[in-house]
Amino acid sequence: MNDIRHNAHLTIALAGNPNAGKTTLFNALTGLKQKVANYPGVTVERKTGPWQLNGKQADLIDLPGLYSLDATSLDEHIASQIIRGEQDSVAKPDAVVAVVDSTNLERNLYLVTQLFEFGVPVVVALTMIDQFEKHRHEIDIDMLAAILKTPVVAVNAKTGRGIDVLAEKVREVIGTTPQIPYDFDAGAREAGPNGKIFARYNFISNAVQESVWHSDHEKHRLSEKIDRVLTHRFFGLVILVAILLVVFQTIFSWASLPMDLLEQGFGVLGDYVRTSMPPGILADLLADGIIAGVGGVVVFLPQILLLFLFISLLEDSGYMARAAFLLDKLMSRVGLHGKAFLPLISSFACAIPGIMATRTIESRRDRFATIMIAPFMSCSARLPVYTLMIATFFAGQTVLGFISLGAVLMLAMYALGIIVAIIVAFILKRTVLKAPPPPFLMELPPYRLPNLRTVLQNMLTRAWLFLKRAGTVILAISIILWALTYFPIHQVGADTAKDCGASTLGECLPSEQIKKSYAGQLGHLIEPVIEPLGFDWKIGVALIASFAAREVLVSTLSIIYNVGKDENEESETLLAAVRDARTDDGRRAWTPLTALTLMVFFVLAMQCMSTLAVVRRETNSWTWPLFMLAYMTGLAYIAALITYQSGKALGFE
Amino acid sequence: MIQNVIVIAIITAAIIYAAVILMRKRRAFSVKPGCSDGCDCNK
Repeated sequence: MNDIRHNAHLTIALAGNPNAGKTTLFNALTGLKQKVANYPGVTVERKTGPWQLNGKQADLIDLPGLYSLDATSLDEHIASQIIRGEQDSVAKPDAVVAVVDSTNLERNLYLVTQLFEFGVPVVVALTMIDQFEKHRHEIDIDMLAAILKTPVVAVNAKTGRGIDVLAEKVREVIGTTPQIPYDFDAGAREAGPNGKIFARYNFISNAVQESVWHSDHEKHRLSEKIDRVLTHRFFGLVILVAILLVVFQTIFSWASLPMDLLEQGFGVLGDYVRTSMPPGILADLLADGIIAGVGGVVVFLPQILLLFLFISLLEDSGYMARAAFLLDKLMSRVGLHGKAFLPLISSFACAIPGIMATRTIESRRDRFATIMIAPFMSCSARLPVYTLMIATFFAGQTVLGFISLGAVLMLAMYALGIIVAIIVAFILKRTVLKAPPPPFLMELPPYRLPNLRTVLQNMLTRAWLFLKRAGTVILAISIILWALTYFPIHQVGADTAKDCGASTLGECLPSEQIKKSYAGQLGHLIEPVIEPLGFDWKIGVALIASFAAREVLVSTLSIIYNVGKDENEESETLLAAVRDARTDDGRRAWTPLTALTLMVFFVLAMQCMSTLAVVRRETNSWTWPLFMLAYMTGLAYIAALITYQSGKALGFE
Repeated sequence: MIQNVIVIAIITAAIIYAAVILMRKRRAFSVKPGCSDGCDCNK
């Protein structure tokens, strides 16, 4: 067999993870003479080049960068076909050179364990060995080769180290039958569908432990010990809940002072405009429309800054990946792709980058399922709404004597979004988007001290985006909403003065005028629909306006309560205005139960035009954004109805 | 009178700005020519 091969034209494939140094090695072996061609019907590039194998010329094929050969993505499918000899234009390789980045052995060797099973001889080429040794790590190459039962060569494409030995080893293995170092199938039989993956990683872990010595061994061991606690299925969740409670509690307590100052500042500005300008329509627009509308949202800047401070700290320290790992276990059980966790984590800041991040998911059905649930993650635009409700009705109350009720409620809202997302994914993956979840393993980044510069940069970027939005979109919507609450101006005659609250001829009282405004008419039109949720027409107007962007609810309430304030009423903060607001028949418009119902509605409703636009673009269909709008709004209405009606039945107000 | 003019100008500007934003969103909603499955069209 060996002799026959020596006389035939040889084909060698070069396989390895992306960024493992594959192309550098390819260029070193072929002398930069590669040609580029397309595989039929696909856009994946193939590079081939001549390689002098100790006097014998071979065709060296550079396969696409791969993490595995599970054939779940196009690249993996093509690579498997080439190694099996199933690609028409390519001869079956006589050997495979597995390029392994020695600084990331565990991840890179996973592909090698798969290559063994193709029946093609494998030679492992260890790259980045200089970097590996620079950190005073050591690798016993003979030991690794003995465990893998295949030749291992340390190479350096730049210095030429190991290039000749590699060629020699490849010549030696051609025509031989590769040995599989471990029965990976036994793992699959014992541990279920993902058992083979775990068996591979167990084997790799043992191989690395036997052959590699890390200078920072103690650090590694400590990191592993911490991981064992933080990713524990019970203690991990307890720690996650505790961390989030501390985060939310801190946000409330730290942000209250700057928020009060900002609120007072906007109040003073509004009063200054009123006193320094002649009374009239322009002063009304500036004070009740622009300052109340934009100021109502801007006062939540301290919360936004603190939220992103904590998100950045958790991300940068490496804890967020551990939290994602905990949730990933749950997500995989309902059939979601493991790669869904990153888009979903991104969606806590904003659903738009989250939805765009789903592009990493190969399966269309898995990708769409993730897109459909991403908006359930509580984004930063919901924070002003949650904070307004909590600060107005639940501030100062505690659970178990020391945990702030506000922090518990905030955590509950985030948890509600996650739970509903998981339930919806479970249903979608068993109905319209039915498909088996592909296996996925997550790499946990090392722990490190957060970089202050990165954290500050992230906070400032978010603050700028928030203020930009307040100064553009929110400002425009505030002006339009003010106009809708201000016009048409009702002039009354003697016969209608009583209906309008006016004692004399002239204009209606502001509280009556707003009822007859365009916004009032619209609010009254939808009131029968929202009444079962405990909402009056003013909340209804704010709800409709918030379909443009969630935080518009706050500015709308601010405008409505400012415009609708009668002249003899004193100027008050939004919190006080919400607390004291009355319905048309004199009842309190808001109760703690109404506030809770509104928060539940906001967790689940699809109130963001930008998100819908992105879903339309990413799915290239009207069906999915419309489906998303319909099912999320329906779900939000039903959940809010259940919250309000059951709360009322239990005697809550 | 002058107050009315200024207010009308501000409201008109806000409406135009909102309309421009809506138009931009509508463009994002529209189907791009040559995209059959959409997934890679905007990469």
